[in-house]
Amino acid sequence: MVQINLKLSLRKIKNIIEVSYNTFEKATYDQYLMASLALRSKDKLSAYQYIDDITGSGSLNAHFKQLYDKAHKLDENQLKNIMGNSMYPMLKIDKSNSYDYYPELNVSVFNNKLYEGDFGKYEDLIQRLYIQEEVIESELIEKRNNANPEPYSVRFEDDKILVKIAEEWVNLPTEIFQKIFVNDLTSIKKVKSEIHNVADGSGWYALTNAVINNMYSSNNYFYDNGDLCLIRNDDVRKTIISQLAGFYIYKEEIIPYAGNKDLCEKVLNLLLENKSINEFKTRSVITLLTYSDDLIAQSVINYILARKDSKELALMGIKLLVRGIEKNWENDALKSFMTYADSSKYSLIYKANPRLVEDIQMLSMINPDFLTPTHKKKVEEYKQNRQAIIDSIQKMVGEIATSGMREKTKQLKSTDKTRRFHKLIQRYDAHSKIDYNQATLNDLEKYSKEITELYDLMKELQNEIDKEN
Amino acid sequence: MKNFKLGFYLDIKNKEMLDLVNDGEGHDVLLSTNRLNIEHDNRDQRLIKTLKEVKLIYELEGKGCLILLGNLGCDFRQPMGGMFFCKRVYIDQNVDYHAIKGVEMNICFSNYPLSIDSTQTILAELVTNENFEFNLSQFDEFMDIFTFYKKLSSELNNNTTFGIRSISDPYYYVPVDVKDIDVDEANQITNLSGIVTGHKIERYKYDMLSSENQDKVRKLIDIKIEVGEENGDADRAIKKVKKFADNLYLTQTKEIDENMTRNLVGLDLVNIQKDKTDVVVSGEANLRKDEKYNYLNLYDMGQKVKLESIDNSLRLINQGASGSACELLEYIIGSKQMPSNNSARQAGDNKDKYIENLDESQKKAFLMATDGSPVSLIKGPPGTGKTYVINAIVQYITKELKQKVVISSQTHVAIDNVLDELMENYDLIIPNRITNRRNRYSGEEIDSTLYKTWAKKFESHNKRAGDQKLAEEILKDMANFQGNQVFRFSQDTILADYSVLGATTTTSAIGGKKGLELLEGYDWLIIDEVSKCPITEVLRYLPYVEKIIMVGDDFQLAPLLEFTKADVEGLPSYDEDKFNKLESIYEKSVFANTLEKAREAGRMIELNVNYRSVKAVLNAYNIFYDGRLQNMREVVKPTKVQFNDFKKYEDKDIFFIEVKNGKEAKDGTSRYNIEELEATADILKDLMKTVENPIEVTVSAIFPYAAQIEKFQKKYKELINDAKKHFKSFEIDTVDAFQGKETDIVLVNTVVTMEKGNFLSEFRRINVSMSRARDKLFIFGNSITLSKIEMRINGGNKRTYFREIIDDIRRFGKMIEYNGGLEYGSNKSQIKLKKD
Repeated sequence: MVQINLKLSLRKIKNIIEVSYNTFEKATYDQYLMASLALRSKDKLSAYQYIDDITGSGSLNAHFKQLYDKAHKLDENQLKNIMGNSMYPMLKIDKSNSYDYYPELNVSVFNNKLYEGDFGKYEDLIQRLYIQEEVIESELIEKRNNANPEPYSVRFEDDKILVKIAEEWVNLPTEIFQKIFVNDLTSIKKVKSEIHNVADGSGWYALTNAVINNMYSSNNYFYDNGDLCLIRNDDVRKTIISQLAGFYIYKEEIIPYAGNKDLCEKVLNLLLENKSINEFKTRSVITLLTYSDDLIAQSVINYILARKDSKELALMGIKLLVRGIEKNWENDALKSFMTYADSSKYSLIYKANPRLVEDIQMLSMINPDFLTPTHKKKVEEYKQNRQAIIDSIQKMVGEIATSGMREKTKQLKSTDKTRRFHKLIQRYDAHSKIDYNQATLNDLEKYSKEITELYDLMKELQNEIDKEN
Repeated sequence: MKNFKLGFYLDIKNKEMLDLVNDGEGHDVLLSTNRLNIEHDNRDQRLIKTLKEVKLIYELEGKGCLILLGNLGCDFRQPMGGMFFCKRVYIDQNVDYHAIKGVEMNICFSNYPLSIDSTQTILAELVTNENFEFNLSQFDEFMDIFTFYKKLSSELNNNTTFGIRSISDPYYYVPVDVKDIDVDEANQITNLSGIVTGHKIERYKYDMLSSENQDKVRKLIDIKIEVGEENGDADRAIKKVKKFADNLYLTQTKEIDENMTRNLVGLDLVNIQKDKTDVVVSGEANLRKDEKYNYLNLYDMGQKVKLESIDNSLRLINQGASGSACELLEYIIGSKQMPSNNSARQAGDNKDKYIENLDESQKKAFLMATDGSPVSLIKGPPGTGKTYVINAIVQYITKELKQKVVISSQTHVAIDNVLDELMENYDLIIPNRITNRRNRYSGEEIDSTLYKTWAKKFESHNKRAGDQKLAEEILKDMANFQGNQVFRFSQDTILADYSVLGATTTTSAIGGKKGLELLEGYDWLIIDEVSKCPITEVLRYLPYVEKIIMVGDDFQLAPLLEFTKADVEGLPSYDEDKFNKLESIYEKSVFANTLEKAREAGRMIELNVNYRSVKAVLNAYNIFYDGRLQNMREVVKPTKVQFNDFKKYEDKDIFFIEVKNGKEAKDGTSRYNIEELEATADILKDLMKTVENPIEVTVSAIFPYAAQIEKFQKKYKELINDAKKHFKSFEIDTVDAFQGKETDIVLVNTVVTMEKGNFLSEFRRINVSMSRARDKLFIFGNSITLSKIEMRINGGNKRTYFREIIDDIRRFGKMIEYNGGLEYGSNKSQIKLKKD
């Protein structure tokens, strides 16, 4: 047994059952008054005269005449009854009932219940509508009659076809089914996957051109047991096609990547093969990499980083490096690692390819044990240079601070020199908190130049003071 | 129609729209301008070079108009000739081309324009054509001020929402003034000051009541609201609810907008109580079944919808799109003289029956209002039967002219009073009342109202029948009627069938396009108590009618702006000059403004027969009307309130209680006078002892200041509750709340003992306070101070009206001295008081 949701052009007729019947309602005051007038007055003229007398040309005049005209149509007995029980006869037209009739199946649906045949033509229709009053007339009014395609649940059982109407399964003769199920499946030639002959259970739908076009919407697919699996960002969609009673049906299975190592590797290899891994979302690639073998992951990272920059993939690569995959990294990948790695990872990256790092600052941060002899020498020289500059700066700064020159210049006449001294000493104040360990060689040299100028100025001014004294 | 070939300049972006008219063909156009702005020809100042800001209005197929705004004139460059320099082009879908006032022409835009000479001749003709200018030079300024008012209103945004904790089941409530229903004292309901407002009664007791008494009972619900941090404490919440008493709505959602106006459930506030820290708001509301109400919205919907509706009307008027409204406005606030069709002002066969019961001044007012002229003003001083005249006019318009009338006023009470009159007789006119509140004339309520009015008097209507035999038989039948005690009117009647529509000038139930469809086909607008309406509210319905009748009295209270300077000073749009202008435009009643114009044009009639007050009481306020009001009260109702002690109050009708040692004190911006309160309480106690048949007597105490009321309620809670039980009714309120009401006995406090800076100098307040009294008027105060207060009426000389009133009381009433207690001497005109 298989259950399929499909669109059928089943003819459906909506009929309204209009029932007119006599009933009684408690009379309103004006109805009662006009009924009395209809009973007691000899003719319409005198009745109208009475209404004119008691309402003048006020608003009730027209209203009473309208009610009188209705009462006037009742016979004497009816009028007498109204006077006796204050109940007014009403012709009620009830249009609240409607049903759907399916001529091809010869069934009807009324109040969500299925009936054999045309419900509106039932002999005991009025009783079924629970109308107690005396019915004057009942009439069927066709409100809608069309065979627009609408979705139905269809069940194929042995050699029977059943359609679900109002929660019940109704026999749908094959010839009718073939007539009302129209599916111009021109794209079926495109389908290269296996077309099964067995189908079971629910979740089946009729195969359409749109479904087929969607199946082949990209080149990234593979076949699994003959069924097409389309690679998508978060999962693979498997489409199983089957043939049943001369038409095609399909069912989809979604297989997520998470936790599925074989699938992830298969997909990655295919994407690499198709050269379409770049078009894949980085986030999805990361998912695939997470569940794949490290070496496959490395090849994907090498591939992508050679073509585009990606921080996330670089960090993923660094993780692999830390995990011990030190060999076979491409230079592009390693350069990318250097860009995004923190300094603690420099040594590992250097180990993977020492020729990649030339920056002395970076080299100075790498474990000296890993350095090549040339690099080691370079780093030692660099460190010595730095220290020499730092020592010289500190010496000059010490002398300037103890010279008391800032105070002394205040006694001197203002000249270009004193002004320059003040400017530099202010700048020095502002920069005095330089961190020697963090500063680059470049920074230190620049700073040293400033301090030297200040130092020289101090010496010259001291000479001038000494001369004056 | 003139053909006018004009050159055309194009300097705006919307070229496609202009292509419609710039096609080399001639098109019929209406020309108009909001304000005549002429640029003369430098070569000859007698000639016109350009008319600025001219509108060319084209009728569009289907609906609406294409409007070109620009300068129409002469272009002296080649090819030289007529020219229209278009500055703006737009389409207005809501304008009816045929309703627009303008000069008709056929205009063709062409490269071969009309010659300069011919253009100048046409321009000269245009400026003299009375259809060309919308003759309202103040209008732009008015629009400007209105825009400012709108901005302030929206910035002020007083809207607040309270979550509803619970809504009680409906219960039956008998207001304290209803004396003929037995109530259990244990079930009394009090307000925040402890004053009893009414009593609860049980369902079974209600069912036992006669239908007449059932009508006096109200069905209330108690709504417990959340007063969280958002809304401040309970006292602040109470203040807000009180302030918004007219704008309370129960809603499902927290936010409400104008699209919901038709479905809003208004709450008619009856009482507010504090239950520990909770606030309970009680009132009447038409709750819909199966709907959950989560919020009490203090939403100034009325104000919002009103503003939009006025804005819409102003827009229509500004575009000259509402022919009759433009004219009406020109007559009302512009400089155009009101037309008066004096020749049609005479009684004839079809008018006689409507005026047979009117007095002379009422007759004149009726004949003026129905002479076919577009504007009429009826000045109705207190007790002169305004409602009576309005009723006669409406009866005539609807029955003889078969035309439709909108009846409007600021208050529900005023409208309902008029509608009550319409529903009074056998040939009643059934109105359609538009309101969000429960009202006896709205929706299906009319069906039971008809039963309570017309059906209750059927026996008398039935006697009018010419065929008495038939009438008798029907009467016998009617005795057996056991059906539904309602009419079957509302379901058989469509909106278009109603010839009278009642809506307040501030209603929120008429909003948006749908709302305005309601007003289609109405020819007349009658505004009652128009002297209380600011101009903006009068304008609201103006574009939809042909004729307007304004009824009011400029000597009674004038309009008040909803907010004060202090309320809006900090708002971004605030501008002091504009505010002052707004205040003066708003608070000047349109009635007072238009009155002089109407008088000159013979379009104003003053009703001058007073049916309310006895002679001595009338004399006190007749002084403001220069004695023009004739006293007719004793003729229509000779009996007065009776006393068991003739000497005390029965022989005179007006009393001045000289409160010795009374001192005015300030409470914020309000004032009070303890000694005057004591005197008022003592007189009230004495009245309770001496009035005969008190259950038929209505009494009120009118205070000029809120602080005085508060102190009185606090100090004399018991006395007030006793008085409410003792008399048919006893009400305490401010002057403003009393306009439109009247009682048999009125006690008026004046409070002031200092001459300057009090609002007693506003003669309208004094006039309204005193004219509420039918039989007895007691004025409390300090005669020396009061005698010095100068008042000015409409730019006239300053007069000390109180001196004249007190002098009058000395001659025709009684002076009572109060010094902590009352003792009555033997002198009929002077009662002595015992000094402690």
